[in-house]
Amino acid sequence: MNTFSKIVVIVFSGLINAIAQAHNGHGDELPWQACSTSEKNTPCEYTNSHGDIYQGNCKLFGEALMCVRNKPIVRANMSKMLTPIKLDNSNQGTK
Amino acid sequence: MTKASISSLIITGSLAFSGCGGSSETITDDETSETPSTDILAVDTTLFDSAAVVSVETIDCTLSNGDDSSCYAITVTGFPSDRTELGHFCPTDINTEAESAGKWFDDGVLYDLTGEFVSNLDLFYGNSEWQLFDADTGEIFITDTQVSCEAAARPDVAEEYQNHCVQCELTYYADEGQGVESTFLLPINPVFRETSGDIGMSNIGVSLNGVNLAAAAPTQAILSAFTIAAFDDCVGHVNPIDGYHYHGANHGDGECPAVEFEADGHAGIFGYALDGFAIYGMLDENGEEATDLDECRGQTDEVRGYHYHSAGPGENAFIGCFSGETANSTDI
Ligand SMILES: [Zn+2]
Ligand SMILES: [Zn+2]
Repeated sequence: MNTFSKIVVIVFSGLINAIAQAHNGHGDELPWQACSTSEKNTPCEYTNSHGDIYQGNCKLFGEALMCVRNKPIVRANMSKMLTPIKLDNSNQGTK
Repeated sequence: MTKASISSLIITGSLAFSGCGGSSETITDDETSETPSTDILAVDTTLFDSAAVVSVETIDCTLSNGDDSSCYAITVTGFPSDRTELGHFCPTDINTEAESAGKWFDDGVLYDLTGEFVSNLDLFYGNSEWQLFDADTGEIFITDTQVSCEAAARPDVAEEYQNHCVQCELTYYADEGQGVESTFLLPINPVFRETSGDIGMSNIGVSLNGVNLAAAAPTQAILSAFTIAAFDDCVGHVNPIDGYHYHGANHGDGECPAVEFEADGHAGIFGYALDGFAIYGMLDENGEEATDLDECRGQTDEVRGYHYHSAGPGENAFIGCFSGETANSTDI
């Protein structure tokens, strides 16, 4: 594969990934959804669109349960983290 | 005992907003946590920035377990003492870069709220109804008046205020350069609860620079109205009840001042929870997080006794619950 093809594939895969993410997490508000059918204090877990895993317990905020992490974030592998997605300007560094 | 009694000490407005904070919630017992048997450090009021504090009084108080105790009644300015101005919040147009825009969080991640981010919200959330900008001019729809910001922050957002980036100016509720003062009751000597206490929807504590630490923002309600309740770099924004308040800890990024690490490399302290236990940053100086946090996000060490570590800046939470009794005034 020549360089141009690689760039096309990377950019294209980034686009696909961005669209896929739109239907795979964003807007679902995963920290709340992870506890939507759970009881208070039960373990919970969600994987966000970056592939990072958040593990904790369902905690009550007002009348709704939200998953509050108490284990270190399990980061997705580097290849996923490096996928070029313009939308994902996550705050891993400084802006 | 309810948080209503605690909230009665907090100077608030009368409007009920979905845009975070202000409501009173009963603190109820959890069933699962165990009482830690560890050292407890008294609240150290000297850690507060003097410029952030209006007054500190020692008063009698009743704890949430019914016991009489002594508390600090700490009144803070409500304006972060380590800054001279707030913002940026909403980007002005679809070309606004990160340096001139604030933040938004989703599923644990804090994003730069750039013009590009806002212009792609339909893709981001997978819903074509998102349209926060004028397609002809690229201008972002911002709630740029007190009427519009309060209308967009209500639980039921009228259609004309949907699809807006919500931004309330602190000057609507305080003099220029001032904040909305709040008084917090902190047990001087924290007392562990037998079972951990729920946080509710009001404030969970106070920062050393004089700002409310809010409970989780109701992001599902915010997003359902196609609004973004824009934060600044410090994950803070303004509502009519609390004024400026934080929904996350993001020190050392953008325009948000850093907090120094402890001498031993432990994360730095930036506030106190309402139960009197200190709250530290998420990561130590090596960028690592503790692996032994309890479900409230607390841990114990010999230097700091029991203390909390904040969740990440994009997680819509500081702590998960109260490990200690909160307080209620008996003499003011
Ligand atoms: Zn808020
Ligand atoms: Zn610690």
